[in-house]
Amino acid sequence: MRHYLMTALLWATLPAAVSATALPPPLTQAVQRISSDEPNNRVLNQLQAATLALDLGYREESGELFDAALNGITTVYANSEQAARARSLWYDEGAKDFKGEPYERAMAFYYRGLLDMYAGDYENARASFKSGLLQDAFAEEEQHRADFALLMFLEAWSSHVLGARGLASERFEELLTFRPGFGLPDDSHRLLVMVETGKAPRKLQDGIGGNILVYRPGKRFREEAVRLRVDGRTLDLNPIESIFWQASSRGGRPIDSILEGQVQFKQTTQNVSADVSGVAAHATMLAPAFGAAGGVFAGVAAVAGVATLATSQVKARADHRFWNNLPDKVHVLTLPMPAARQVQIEFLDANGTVIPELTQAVSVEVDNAGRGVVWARARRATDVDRP
Amino acid sequence: MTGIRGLAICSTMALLSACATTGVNNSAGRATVYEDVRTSSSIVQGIGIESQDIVAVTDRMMRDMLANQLLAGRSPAPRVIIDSQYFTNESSSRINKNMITDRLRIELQRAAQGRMVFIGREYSGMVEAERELKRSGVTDAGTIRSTRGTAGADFRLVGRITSADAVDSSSALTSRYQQISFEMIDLEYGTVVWGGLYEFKKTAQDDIIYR
Repeated sequence: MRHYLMTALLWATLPAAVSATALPPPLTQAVQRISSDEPNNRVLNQLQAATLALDLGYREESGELFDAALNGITTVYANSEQAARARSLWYDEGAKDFKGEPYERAMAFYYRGLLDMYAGDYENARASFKSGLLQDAFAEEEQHRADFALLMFLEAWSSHVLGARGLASERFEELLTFRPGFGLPDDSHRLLVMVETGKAPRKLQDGIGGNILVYRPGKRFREEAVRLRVDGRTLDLNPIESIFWQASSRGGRPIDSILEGQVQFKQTTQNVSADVSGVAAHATMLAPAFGAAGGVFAGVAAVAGVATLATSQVKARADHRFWNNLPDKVHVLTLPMPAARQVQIEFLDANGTVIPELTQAVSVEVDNAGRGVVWARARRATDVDRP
Repeated sequence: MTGIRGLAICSTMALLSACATTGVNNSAGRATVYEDVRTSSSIVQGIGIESQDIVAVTDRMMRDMLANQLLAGRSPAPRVIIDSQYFTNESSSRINKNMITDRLRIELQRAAQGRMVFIGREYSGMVEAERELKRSGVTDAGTIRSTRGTAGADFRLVGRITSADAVDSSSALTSRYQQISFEMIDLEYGTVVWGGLYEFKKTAQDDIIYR
């Protein structure tokens, strides 16, 4: 009987085991983390696994993961118990289901659109880029709202290759207001080159009790520019977007005032506790001398103890979970379809010196309608900073 | 004394209520259930195109087309192509357009009962390959009649999905107006013989922790 049970168990788990071993170990681990980690980190783990899958060339899996993550991101959290809990005094902001800050949500749509472009579906790619741009519309500071130039460019490029000249020119005009002097694609351009450099912006907790969210650039990278070599020509890519700047320029968040209020409550109870505990200590010492009247001071001691306990239970820390395999910058270039089906990408530091260990050869992918995409990253999606 | 004792009791109760919920998610799952495609899901909601929108737009367009005498009242029955080839998505909602055109074509064919003839133009490659096998002698001629050519179409569906988004950055209220337009084009004369429009607007506001 035991033999039959073990055999049944083996057959039940075999399909899962086979699919798990079919993926490289880092990707398998990333996918497993989605279910093994806390449920409120699901979208974060999906985004990171999806980016890793894309980097490793597993585009179908990447698309499924990004779709799942975007389902979570676009879900409206109204009357949600999780959201209410994260707003309360007794839970950190990190108790909420992760959806990402606006720059992270925008980048989720960027990657989904990239996958659509690889599949030759430029209409859905355009829809993704438009949706991503909307995510950037929540900046507190008006001058930084909906200024994600990368997504504007990609939406315009999608319209350009679809032959929708009116839509393309409208969006390119808007792009020029944010990137004056940007070289717009010519009618003959059919190849888009996109290269990512650097590492993800990091979120840190600051302020009393860690209630303020601050951003810092990723660590340990020095590439700042990108160069392309194809058909005997050398071309510099345009650094169209800084993801760190998008992250750090958003300004305050409405949740910040809630966290500030929680900190004030915490400080108030701390002050109450400090004020009362001094009296309580004195009262405890004097209680035996006062007999029945000492009961009053015992009550004071109880309040001090309770207030201290309340202070320690208030959780006002900002949510510093971040999508750790995003890039620091994205660089783009469009050109007519080259004769070669492979290009060389070089990465330069701030002094313009090539960093040889990052140089890579990348294939040009062309769809049935003759539209091409080249996409590359300086850093592997496993080369990340930890919180 | 009463005031201090009351404060102590209230504080203790507040603490106990916090301590009672440990923050550990111990929720059970939920078995798979079938849901009505005509209603919005209570679980996952957004402001994009959902199942109830696809069902509503195709039902309305189907009824409208059947009521049009140029399309459904001609003799002989007109030949129409209904697919997503010329149905473009210019909106900010990602969607598989085939969901709309497939449902429209199939429901229309069921309801038309011979008043329209539907041409599967997206399968013309498959049809040509089989005709070549028959005519080259690799296979026999089959059991239905041989024809000199495949069916030519009289009318073809074109359409567009567009959207206009608005965001109130202070309240994070987001609204999306979506418009789905359909037209049938005379493939000989180039005129528009029928047009239909379906529009809807959705508004949502995410919890403040996500703004």
